[in-house]
Amino acid sequence: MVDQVRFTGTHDLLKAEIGHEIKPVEMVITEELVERNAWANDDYNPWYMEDSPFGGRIASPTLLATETDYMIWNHFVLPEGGGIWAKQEFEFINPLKVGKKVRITGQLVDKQSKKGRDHLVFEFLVVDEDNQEIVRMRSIHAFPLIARNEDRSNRGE
Amino acid sequence: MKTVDPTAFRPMNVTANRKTECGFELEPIIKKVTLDKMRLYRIGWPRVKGWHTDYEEAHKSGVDQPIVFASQVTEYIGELLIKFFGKGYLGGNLSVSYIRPMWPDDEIITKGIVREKIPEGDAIRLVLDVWCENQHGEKVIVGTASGLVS
Repeated sequence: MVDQVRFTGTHDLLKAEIGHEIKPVEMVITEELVERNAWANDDYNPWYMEDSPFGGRIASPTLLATETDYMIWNHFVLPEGGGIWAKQEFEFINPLKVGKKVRITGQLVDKQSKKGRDHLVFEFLVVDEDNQEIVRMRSIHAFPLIARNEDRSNRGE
Repeated sequence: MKTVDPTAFRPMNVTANRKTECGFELEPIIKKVTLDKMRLYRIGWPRVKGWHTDYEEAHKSGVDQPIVFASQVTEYIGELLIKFFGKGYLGGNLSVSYIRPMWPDDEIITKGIVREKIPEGDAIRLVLDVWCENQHGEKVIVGTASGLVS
């Protein structure tokens, strides 16, 4: 039986200040990871499974989006009432190569309250072991899952 | 009996090139997202039982069934981009908004259309509108993307 690992975040997200840095993550892009992602998404691009024009196998360009989710929840406590992933942006800079170690850094860059929710904006940068920037990501998460009524009524919603 | 290899890679018939015109519709990518696929997507990472992978956890969160990972369906758009642009996905970007939840066994159709051609040095940047629809024809993800054609 597989052990369930829960998120380990301890910081209060809604009280975090702009500029708050999330604990960085280092990980190796393994063949197993890339293949499992291919099976999960039915995407068997030979660049992922065999070889690519970049010299060796690469990973899907959007592979690490979900890793940023883990980074957030292994750093912050999920607020009461849950939340939703509202928006995601990527800037693809260099290929994410299989076998390379990458370091992901991230921080809270903006906070807004609108339509009965707190919208928190995070930015992440992935750099590989050769110090090459791979991808920049920006994500917006909104809390709580069910928008607050009082804010909606203030806006006539 | 004719069988289809489920792991076969199907390239697009027409990929991005300098003659690609505004209004060109990319070949759509059609996927069925199952609970098994959702669990497989998650299990590659720390093993978390949650509302994306488990009915009991979903019910605790007030929804009838697990919600598909937004990032998993974003992968379908990533697939669209790398198939269309090839190496030109580098230097490109993607911005998506998640506007409706997706559920196990939804059929997700990922589409794109060329909206703009912008000269950029010796290359051309093609700007796309991209989106995903469910089997009811409802848009679930909408956004824009771009890539380079040399």
